[in-house]
Amino acid sequence: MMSLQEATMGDGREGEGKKRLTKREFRYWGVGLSSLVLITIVMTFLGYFSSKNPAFVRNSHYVPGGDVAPFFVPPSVAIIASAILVIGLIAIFTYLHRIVDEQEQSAWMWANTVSWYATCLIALIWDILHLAQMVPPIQGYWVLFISATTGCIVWIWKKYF
Amino acid sequence: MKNRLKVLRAERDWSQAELAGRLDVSRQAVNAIETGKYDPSLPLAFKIGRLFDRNIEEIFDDEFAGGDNG
Repeated sequence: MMSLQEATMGDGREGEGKKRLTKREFRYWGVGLSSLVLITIVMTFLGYFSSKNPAFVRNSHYVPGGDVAPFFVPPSVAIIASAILVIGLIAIFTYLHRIVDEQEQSAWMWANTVSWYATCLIALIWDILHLAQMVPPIQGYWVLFISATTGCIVWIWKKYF
Repeated sequence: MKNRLKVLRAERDWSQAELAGRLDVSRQAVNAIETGKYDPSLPLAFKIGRLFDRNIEEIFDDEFAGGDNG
């Protein structure tokens, strides 16, 4: 197996004291950081308006996907935050899928297919078990979390192993 | 699919990262092709051929060539 030193030799990064990012790595970091910045902006935006609102009440019993929101924001703020997220994330994801190579594209397709199957299976099974009162009603965020985790595992497997 | 990519790369003393840079793919993609876990698309196979100045058949082994496939 090739060592990290061997793997980075001869690609224009050696002899410069510290590791320089390749063009590809630079673009990936760009995507990652842009996503973080976007989410930080939206969270700050929501946090600012919710704390300014007189009806602000933090609910300590908040459960993602539950009936009670963690705090209140005016509808206009929620719409603006949603629009920023949708436009920003679509732009970032579009760029990401334009820069991935074909092996990564294959990993993405496998991951998304398995993730979709997981979503369908989990939702169906959960609902059937709920009919027998064996489990509580479906919680969307849990289904999303499990299917996303499944997709993530498949992506790592197809990309690195 | 078996291939001679690792041998050709070694002849030029290139690392996987360097070859990946020349092909504009990730290092993991080069590794996956070399180990036969991923078969490149035709455009990438032609690109590899051009880079090593070889025909595709000289790099990638057509495992069905000797069989009765029609």
